[in-house]
Amino acid sequence: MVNGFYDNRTHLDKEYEYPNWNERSGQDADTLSRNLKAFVDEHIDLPMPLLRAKAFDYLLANAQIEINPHNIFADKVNLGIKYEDSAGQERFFDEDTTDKSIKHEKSASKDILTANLYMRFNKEVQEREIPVEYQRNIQAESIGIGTAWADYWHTLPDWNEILRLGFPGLLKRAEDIKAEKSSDGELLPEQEVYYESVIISYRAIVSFIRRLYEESLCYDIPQYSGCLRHLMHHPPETMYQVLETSYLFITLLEIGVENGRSLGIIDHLYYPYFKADIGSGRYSVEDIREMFRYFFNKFNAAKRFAAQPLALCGTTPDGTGTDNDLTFLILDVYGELGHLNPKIQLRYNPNLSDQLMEKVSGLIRKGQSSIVIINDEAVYRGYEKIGIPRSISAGYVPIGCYEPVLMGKEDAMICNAFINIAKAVEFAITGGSDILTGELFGMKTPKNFKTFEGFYKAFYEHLDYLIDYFVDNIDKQTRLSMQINPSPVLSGTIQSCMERGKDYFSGGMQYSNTTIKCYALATTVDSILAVKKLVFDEKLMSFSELQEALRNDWKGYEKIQLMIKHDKNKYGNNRTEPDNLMCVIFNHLSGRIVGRKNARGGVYRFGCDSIHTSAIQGKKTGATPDGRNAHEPVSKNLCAVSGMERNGVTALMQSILKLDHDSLLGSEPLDYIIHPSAVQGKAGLKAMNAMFRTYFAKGGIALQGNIINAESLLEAQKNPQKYQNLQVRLCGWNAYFVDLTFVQQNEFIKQTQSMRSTI
Amino acid sequence: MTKGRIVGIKRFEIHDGDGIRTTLFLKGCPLKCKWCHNPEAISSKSQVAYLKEKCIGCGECVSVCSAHAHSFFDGKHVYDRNRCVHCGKCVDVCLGDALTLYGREISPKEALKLLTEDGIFYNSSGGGVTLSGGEPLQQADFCMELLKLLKTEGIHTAIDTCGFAGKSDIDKIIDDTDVFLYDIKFYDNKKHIQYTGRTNKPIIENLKYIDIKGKPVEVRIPLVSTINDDQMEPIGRFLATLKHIRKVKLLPYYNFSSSKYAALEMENMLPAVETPDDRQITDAVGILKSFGLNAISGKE
Repeated sequence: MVNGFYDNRTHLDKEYEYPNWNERSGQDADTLSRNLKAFVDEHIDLPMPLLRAKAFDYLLANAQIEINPHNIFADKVNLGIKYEDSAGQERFFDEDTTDKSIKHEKSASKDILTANLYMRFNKEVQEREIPVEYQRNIQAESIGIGTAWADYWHTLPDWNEILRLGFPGLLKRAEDIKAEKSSDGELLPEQEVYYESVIISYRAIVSFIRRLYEESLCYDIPQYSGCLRHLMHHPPETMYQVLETSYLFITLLEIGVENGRSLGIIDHLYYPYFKADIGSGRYSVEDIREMFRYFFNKFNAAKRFAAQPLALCGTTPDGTGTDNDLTFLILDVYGELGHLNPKIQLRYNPNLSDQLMEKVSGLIRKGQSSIVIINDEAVYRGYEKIGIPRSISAGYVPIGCYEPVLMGKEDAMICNAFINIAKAVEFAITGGSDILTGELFGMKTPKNFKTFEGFYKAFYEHLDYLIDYFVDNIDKQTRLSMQINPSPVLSGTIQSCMERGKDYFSGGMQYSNTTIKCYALATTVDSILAVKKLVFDEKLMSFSELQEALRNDWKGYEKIQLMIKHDKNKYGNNRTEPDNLMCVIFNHLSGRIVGRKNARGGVYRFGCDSIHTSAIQGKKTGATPDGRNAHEPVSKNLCAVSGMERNGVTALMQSILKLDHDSLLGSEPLDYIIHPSAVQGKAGLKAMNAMFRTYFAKGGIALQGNIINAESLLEAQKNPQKYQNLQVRLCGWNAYFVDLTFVQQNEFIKQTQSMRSTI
Repeated sequence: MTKGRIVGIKRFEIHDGDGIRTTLFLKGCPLKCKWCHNPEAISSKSQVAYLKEKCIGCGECVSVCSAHAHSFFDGKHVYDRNRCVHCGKCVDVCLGDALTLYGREISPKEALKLLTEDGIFYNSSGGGVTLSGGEPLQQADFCMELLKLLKTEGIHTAIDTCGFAGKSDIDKIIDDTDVFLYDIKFYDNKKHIQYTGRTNKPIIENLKYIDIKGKPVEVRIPLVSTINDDQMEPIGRFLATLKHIRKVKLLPYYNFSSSKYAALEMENMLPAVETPDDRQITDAVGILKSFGLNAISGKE
């Protein structure tokens, strides 16, 4: 049974785009959508957790399903998702919306999912409870600052519990705890609602597996049916059942707005099952290799949004780092398939073998740049900074793009806000208004300065105002979690949620943290130095001329624009002045954010990655003093401004290493771009390994990048049909280069061209 | 303190010795190899390269040039190489990055500062600093001072040399050089003269001398189709007589340098031959290996 992946490939790659629903198995997507809406309206007076659970149950009971006899994993449920155009990345990258709810509609087309409930209640509840903040948030997004958001999307279920108990076991645990508390007379009304919502959800899941099982009986594939039958009654016991469980759970969780943004550290998580299968002779290594081909291929075929993360390696409780034979098997299959989905997050510690590190380097060099490497030591220090000891943080799992989260213990809301801090420079120049629209946002400051110090002080005033605004907005939104987005499916996997009878997002976790990310730091640093040079030191223009130049997008000031762009005093080249200024601004931000108390009994975490928002918000941001034109992307992550990193990757690394990475628990991946010729041959793999190890030994927290040259990108831009498979690591995940917008392609080419290493 | 005249510095270099290295390219070479891919390093004098395609006509160069080497004629920038005094002021202000100065002077201490910027990457990778060119031994006194400084800092050092130098120059640097990257182009002297303009006698003798001194050597052979691909056997036979050849690397010729010749207004003598294919490289490696040498392809 476990073979034939390549023979079946044509039936696998397009199985989501061209599904073959059993029409008699349930309601078609349009009918289901109408009926769900009516169902929700009918039950609108129920407490929100129960409404969510009942809607979930309604969907799983009534949606059409399909068993693909060419696959070995069952999961398919007709929720009307249009995989061919909506789950792909291209829309996401083009996205430019001022209202987060539109994002969800547009990017996932989840018309009939319970995510719709989130969209509806997110808007309704906010407009009712915090109308001023709701409008301010829309304004902040529309003028390129960013959006405050209660991040219900990036979540991590407790995979240990899911595999230990299985679906029926999770259901039984909820029933048992409810019964126990009830008989002790300790059950509060809101806890009763909560437990009931979990019980309804897990009954729905077990019934859904039964539906899949019964459907599978139509085909003569006993192991397929056997696996589903087993999972109806028991936790998974074999590798095959583990993979089916993981895929099913991820699919079911995402029927809500929440996404399981990691499968966990799978080489460790799955290892006992792997050993047992091999030891008992149930499956051969080759059988398991074949299972992983089917498993990974599903993520790619489903074009899972922003790519499905999974983690490898990590430190064991005794402090040593391990890889194992399953790590290598997984990397082999991953390399063989060459997909960008799922994506791999490797937990690094110095004990990882050179063999593993060179294997990973080889995959990255081959173009599988979706692999990101995260440094355990920096993460541990980051957790220590917010009072969490290593004994607890040792079990962290990187999720989303690269953000650490304590599985089963922490909801980190890893993306509550991305703040374009270059707006603080703009506001210091204009006196508090947006340069493109003239809209005032926040405080008023003077519109002219006689000294650089005056301007510099105004910059910090605006910076602090922006941070405080975001904190306030996030706090107010997250207090409304239970009215907007309770998650019984997710909470059902978490022991502390079950013991407390509280939701994942609202008091159920041991740590309920919040994360703010600041980006455009390089644009900010270069711009402040440009103001100093142009207006105050060399007096090439007056302050009001600078305002006019920026308002007119440098028209009439082209020569000054060229001069300032050409100026070598730019961040990212291991130069003292700009790097020192970066440190000061960075420390100011981290000092204001890290460890700050949030509204959920936890603390704020700080990160500096931007994902694709540097392009989205850049598009709405006027010209900046560093010579950047209006609407161009601002700098991403802690990278230099595109085209300004003139001394190569080692210099960029050293600039970034001057910053205190222990404050970056919210993460910051260094984006390296290296020309393929610089790392060719065996020596190239050794050099990449040494480069990674050095960066981490010096305290760096995460690395991602591309081994690529500008020539091939230019060629791909001209002849996209020939380069359909060219992957680039763009922000927190990979994309096919040909799927990017023209502006993004050019931005990437510009950065690639400037990463020369000769001075 | 002797100043060195340099072409430039390349960081994160992995092909000039072991590990991650920084390579300093020195200006001036006694050979005139027809396939030279670093024409900017041949002359020992300073040169300004001008890539006219990159000129945006900003005119900044005109305003800073006291030698009047830059002017505008019919709205187009004209660079008069004969007037240029190579002060580099125009290069610093050129807004289109169309001008490059090859031949800046630098003291050993200044060089040390630049070459140790990537020091954190040397230890973990087994890398260090490589002096290359041109021919570094043309500036043996500068190299000697610089190598001493590098060794004081505990940095691994390599010299990439064509071997055409006096023994006294070798003596100046040998103690502070950890490994020699030593080019051999031909064993046949007539051909050597024909394609490089010089005899290979000192090259052969110096290599023997370095070998007697017990210094490890990585021999590098540029493999140029139809020009020296018949030399593998005699080179292999000669190298087999030496004791400290730890590696022989074959570097396939690429015809990538014509724009550099144009920017420097130098005569382009690059042979119109194809880059050796993998089969040719494997054959050449095979011949060298048959002499018991640790031969590898430069592509590895």
